[in-house]
Amino acid sequence: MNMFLAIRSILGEILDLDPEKILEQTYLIRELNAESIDLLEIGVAIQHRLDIPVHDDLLFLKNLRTLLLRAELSKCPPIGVLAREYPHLSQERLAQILIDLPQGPVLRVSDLVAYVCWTRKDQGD
Amino acid sequence: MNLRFTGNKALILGGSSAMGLALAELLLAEGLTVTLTHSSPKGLAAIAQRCPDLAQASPSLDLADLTSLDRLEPCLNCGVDYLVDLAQADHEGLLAAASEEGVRTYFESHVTNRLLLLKAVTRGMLYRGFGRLLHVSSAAAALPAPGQGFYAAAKRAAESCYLGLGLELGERGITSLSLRLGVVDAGRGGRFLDRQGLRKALAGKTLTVEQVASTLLFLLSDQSLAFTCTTLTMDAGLTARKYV
Repeated sequence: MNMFLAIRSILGEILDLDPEKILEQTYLIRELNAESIDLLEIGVAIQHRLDIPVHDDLLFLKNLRTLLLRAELSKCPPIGVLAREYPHLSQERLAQILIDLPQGPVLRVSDLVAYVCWTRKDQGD
Repeated sequence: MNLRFTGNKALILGGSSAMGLALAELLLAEGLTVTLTHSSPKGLAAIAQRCPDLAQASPSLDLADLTSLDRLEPCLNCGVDYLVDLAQADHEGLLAAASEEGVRTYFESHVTNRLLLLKAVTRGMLYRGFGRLLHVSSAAAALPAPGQGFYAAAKRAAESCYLGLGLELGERGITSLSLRLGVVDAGRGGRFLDRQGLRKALAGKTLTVEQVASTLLFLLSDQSLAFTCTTLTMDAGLTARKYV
């Protein structure tokens, strides 16, 4: 199963958008205007349709700023803290997130795809 | 009036209570599928005696034990359309004299773990686009007696959780309601009447199990879905009087 296509279909349906206009690099909140209730529905749809356990905090990078604050206070490299919390994201993506953060919410469609692929792999699929 | 039900699967927490069992019978008569939870062997025996067909599939649920929520998973996987929440342990004692452990345990069980359970239930409802949450609260939430502080505070907190879920998820087909009951002549209510010698004084001001069960059935039906994000009181006028 192509996870990007599966997630794109879910996003299109819940956000009432043409799936063709959703790309892997599209920002969920910044560009698609997804709100909290939309994210909840997206998480539920991913959980049921793709049959994987979903932790919303990880899927939607909800604790990102808290983690960065914690890293700053404990004088730890931020990328290391994020890597431990979000093992589904590559070092390259984490570095990109740190640069991108001042511009607003960083969550991209590709982050959801990474989470789903990582979780399925973890389940042994 | 014929009651209509959009969904067909009901989960009753605290289902081994007299109210839970009476409601289960009414729901079964309406053609719904019912799962009753129990929290003790005595509770399971009560289910086996009155609703023998439901005993085998009755999960054990102890709100104090977070891992026991896992036992609801088979039921949640099948989908729950109606949740009736009758689960509440009694805990009488003065708030001002409460132990740290007692405070933590009670509120973790009845507020934190209840909300985690509701989160799991509503995720399934959200996926299917329908769900009815019915919380059986108590008139004590508004008018507690001295020593009922724990119970009343937990009920109020639970009412707020149900209200919040109804507000957040209403547009996705999930409704919620809390029903504050007065003195029910069964279980702990019956023991209270006996212990305090109040049967005569409160004649006509108590509720029967049958009255409550029929009301709960109505409040689950499609006809009553507009009762949402609110709290109703059913106490035979008990708390409307200035003095008892």
